[in-house]
Parts: sequence; structure tokens; C-alpha cells
Amino acid sequence: MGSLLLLTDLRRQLLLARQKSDFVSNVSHELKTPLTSIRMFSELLAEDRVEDLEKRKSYLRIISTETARLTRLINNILDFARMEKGEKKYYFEPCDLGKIARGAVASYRPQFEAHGFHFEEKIPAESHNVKGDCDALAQVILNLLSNAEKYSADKKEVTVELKQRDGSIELSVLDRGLGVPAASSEKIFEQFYRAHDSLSSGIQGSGLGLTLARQIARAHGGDVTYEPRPGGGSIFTLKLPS
Amino acid sequence: MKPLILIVEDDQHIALGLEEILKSEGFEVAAATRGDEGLKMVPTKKPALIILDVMLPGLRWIRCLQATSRREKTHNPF
Repeated sequence: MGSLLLLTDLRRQLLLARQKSDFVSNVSHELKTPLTSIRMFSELLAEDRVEDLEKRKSYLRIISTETARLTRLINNILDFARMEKGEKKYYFEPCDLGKIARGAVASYRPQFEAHGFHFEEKIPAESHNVKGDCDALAQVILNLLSNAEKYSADKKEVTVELKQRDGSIELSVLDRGLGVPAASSEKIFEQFYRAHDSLSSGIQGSGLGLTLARQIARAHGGDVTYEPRPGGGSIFTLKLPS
Repeated sequence: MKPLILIVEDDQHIALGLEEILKSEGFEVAAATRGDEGLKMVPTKKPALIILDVMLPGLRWIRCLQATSRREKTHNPF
């Protein structure tokens, strides 16, 4: 019995060590991709290689979008480190989840537009009040949007829906992408876990986005859940008590 | 005739930046976002050089290299 427990623990340690090593490699790639774009377009502009004014403006917008992408990744890593040490602090206050969602969607929209997505926003105008850390909740929504973008593959359709239920508010991000294999539907919320291997799928990711999203939601008395979307794709839902 | 460079890169911003730089240096440029797409373009476009991302959807980079090496006996543009 003792040897079996030791073997199971050893397997778990080996798996964690491999996931951590993959994480370092994935994060390095994730950091280098936006940095490469920022460097290329800033050098193009600094060297006056682009004469067309509209092109110059669009390249400046790319620099801004890629800077936002880099900021999101760094925020996720810093927050993950804080959570690991038990140092993550939340500042609870009355928040309108609809307003937070509209802000997150507005900041992510250029990324969807740049990659040819059909994007639908179904967020009612009235207030949806929750008590929470507004910045942390925005981070959850941004992580769900980023996840939908990464795993959409060729079917680039994303919808964001906000609904009031009995005693809760639910924000769902729906895509028509690769979905999640049934065996991985809970594992995707574990740190460093990635349902689709980055080398074979070409999909980058740190393996932290969904882990953080769920941890933040649970710190608010809510949750982030996954369900397959009828007709193909995924539905990720942030549920919060209202 | 300008030499043609084929970019196989799934990140659209990086592909666009590379295209702009290479065009400003006087090259002709073709682009694909997936490994399998890029591979299909090789026989028709006959690129002088291929810039291939390592992490690609569609077909892994090593398969692209192997398939092109088999087809292009005398010239490997990678």
C-alpha cells in the first residue's frame, strides 16, 4: 500500500515537473510573439518605411493591441504567483457586471477584429449588480475571451451573453471552436494543463488563464464552468451571486 | 523578376510586419497561415525562400520540411 502511494505521488511530481517545464516554454513563446510584433511595427514606423497615413495608423493600433496582449499575460503570471503565495488581495465593492463586461469586450474587440472574428455582444443595458473586485472580474472575462479566440481555429464566431438568473448573474462566452475532450473538461481548470498540445495544434497559451478565472470566481462565491455547445464549440460561464 | 519569399505564419500581425519589411526590401511576398496551406503553395509559387513558424496549425513544421525536401530534389527553400 505504502509503495503504491509513493509511486502515485512520484507520477504526480513527474507530471507537475513536465507541466512546469512546458509552462516556461509556452510563456516564453507567448511573451515573444507580441514583443516581435511591437518591435517590427515600431521599427517600420521609426525608419519611415511606411508612407501611407492609414497604414501608419493601423500599425500604431497593432502596437497598442499587442501591448494590451502582453499586459494581460504579465498580469496573469503575477496574479498566479500571488495566489500561489496566498498573497492575492481582493478589494470588494459594488460593481455592475454589465459595465465591466462591456469594458472588457471593448478592450478585446480590436484583437477579434484583427483576426477576422464575427463577434456578437448580448449584454443588456440595465445594471447587473454584484459585490466584487471590479478589476479581477474584468480579468476573468478577458481570460475567457482570450480562451475563445485561441481555441476557435477556423470557425471564428464568438458571442458574449449576460443573463440574470434566480439569485445569480451569469456571463457566458460561446465559441464554435475545437471544444474540450470530455476527459479534460475539469482538468482544463488545473494549473498549466492544456487540452490541446501547443506543438501539434499551433495554439499558444500559458495554461493559467482558466485556472485564474476559476480561482477569482470562487473567491467571489461563484464559479467558472465549462459545457460543450450544442452544434460544436464551447460555453464558458462565469456565475456570480447577485 | 523579383525573388519570391513565402511566409508561413499563423500570427497575422507578425505575418503582416514581415510582409511589409520584405516588400520594402524589394521582394515579392506570398503568405499562408497554416502549414498545409503553405505546403500547397510551394509547387506553384516556387519560392526562393520560405520563412516557416515552428508552432503552426494544420501541419507541423517538421512535416512541412520533410514533404518539401521529398518534392524539391535540387532546391530546398527553407
